[in-house]
Amino acid sequence: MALERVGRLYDGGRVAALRDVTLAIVPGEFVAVTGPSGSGKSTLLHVLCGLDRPTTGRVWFRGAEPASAEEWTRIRARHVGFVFQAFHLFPTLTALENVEIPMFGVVAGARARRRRAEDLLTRVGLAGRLEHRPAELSGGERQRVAIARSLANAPLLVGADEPTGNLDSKAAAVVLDLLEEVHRQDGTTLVLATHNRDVAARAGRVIELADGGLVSDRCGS
Amino acid sequence: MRFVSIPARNLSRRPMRSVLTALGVAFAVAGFVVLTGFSRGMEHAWTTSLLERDVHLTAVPRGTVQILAASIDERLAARVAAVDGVRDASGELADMVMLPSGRPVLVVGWPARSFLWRTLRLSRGRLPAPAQTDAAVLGEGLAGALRLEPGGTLALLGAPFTVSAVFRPSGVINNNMLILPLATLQRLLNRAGQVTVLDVRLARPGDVPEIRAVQARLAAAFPDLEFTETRFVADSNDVLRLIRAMAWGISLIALTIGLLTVLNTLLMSVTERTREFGVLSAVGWSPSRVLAMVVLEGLALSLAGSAAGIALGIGGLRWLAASPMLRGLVEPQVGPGLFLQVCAVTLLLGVIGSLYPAGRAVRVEPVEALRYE
Repeated sequence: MALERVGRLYDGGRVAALRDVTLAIVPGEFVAVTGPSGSGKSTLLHVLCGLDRPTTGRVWFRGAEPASAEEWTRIRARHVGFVFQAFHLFPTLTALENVEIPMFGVVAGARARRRRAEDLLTRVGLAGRLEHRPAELSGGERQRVAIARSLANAPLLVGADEPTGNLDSKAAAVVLDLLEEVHRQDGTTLVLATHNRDVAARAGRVIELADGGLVSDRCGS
Repeated sequence: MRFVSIPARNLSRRPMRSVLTALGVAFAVAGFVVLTGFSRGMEHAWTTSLLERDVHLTAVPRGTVQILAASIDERLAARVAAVDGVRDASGELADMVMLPSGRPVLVVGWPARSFLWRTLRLSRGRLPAPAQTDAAVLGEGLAGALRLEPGGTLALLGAPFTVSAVFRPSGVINNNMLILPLATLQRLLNRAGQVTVLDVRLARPGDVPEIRAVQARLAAAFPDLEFTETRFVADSNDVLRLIRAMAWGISLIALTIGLLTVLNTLLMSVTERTREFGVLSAVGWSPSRVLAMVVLEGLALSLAGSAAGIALGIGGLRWLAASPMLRGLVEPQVGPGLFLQVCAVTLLLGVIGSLYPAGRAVRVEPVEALRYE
């Protein structure tokens, strides 16, 4: 993935969330994006994962520059998984069904989708919570369902926006371990936005932003 | 999980709202079923009542709107019968009369030697003799309702009558009809020498070109009369056409309200779920998949409403047909044609009512929906 002189303006150009950011991410990297609130971490993550389009500059994914909204939709479906700070699970669906949601249009057959969702939930330690709805799960469990959902279509890239922001320290540790394990075992590129320096320290590379601009780009611990 | 179960889950999120919306659709569809079934029932009843009397053409004064108020010289029947291709013709005087019990009943008067008498299938009693002026013949439905048998008596327009026979028709109008000698009814209604309609039997009723030819000869010979094939009577009758138009008009209003109900509910639902649509877009759902989901929600609401509406409508029709004012005048018609129309209307309600909300859902950008996280 690469960003070339990317800028993202909001409110008719009055607010610059990103300014002239250029960077490249190598497949299989674990990158932490840090910076204070309002520094542009989430915006950078959204642009990297194809959830948002830059106002200026170019975005490259797997060596190509997706031109249309349809292309980005296809990329999000097949190659990108995303974990939100607030989980954003569907309240009327069970954990199993939440994980199945991204598979529509990618994995054919209800049985195949169910089997894969079961495997993923087992992997994140929720084999006993398959039929529970989000309201019946703890915060940590909900985030683990969200991680399983992000892995539904075996993505090349997983973006996580403050994935531990709404969790207590114990649940946060479990979630981070899980994300790291996915990165290590599957070779998935992991880009994680956080303002927590301890969390960022677990990454192989740390990108620091301030006021939408790139301040530093260095190797992690 | 199958795709179709997702809309169902979404609708179950606010069950009361979904049920109320379906009920709104149900009442709209029930209105459509009742009004359309009612107007069709009237047309069917009138057509059947003439067909089972072996009447091939009917004649009323040109420009007649209200048949019961029409007036034709009874002597014209003999002249019509003399036209080439006509086998027989008979005048018929008809009116709605209130029985002493308060029940409205269709009373017709037939000439003593009319062919119409011979079309009756008697179940009890015998036809009145030509000279008998105080005889009445009743349809089985009316006889049953009044608990009258041959030999019994009834009062009508202040005059006493003796039931001479009860007949068994297939149409609901004839079933609740009372037949008197023409001269007697003319005297009671102060319409001496008049009939309201001429009933014509043709020599070759199955020969369509011959029917057209006879119609042309009759039209030329009697320019003041309008001769209509019995099977098209309902189409050419202004009152029935008016009822049909009113039924469609009121149905359209009801269905528009149903459509707005679906649209309003889905619009609220889509607005409430803006963030979820953003998540769906974020996980790679295409706009067409999101659109399909919302349209399916609209279809599910309208289908559930329609199923309830059909049941309500059939119940309403039966209630109407059995009501004292309409008993014997309407035979509810809820055949496959009406169900096909309801299905088409339901599909339209669901799809049109959900297209705008679905369009709104499709336009949600993932980041726009998640910005306020």
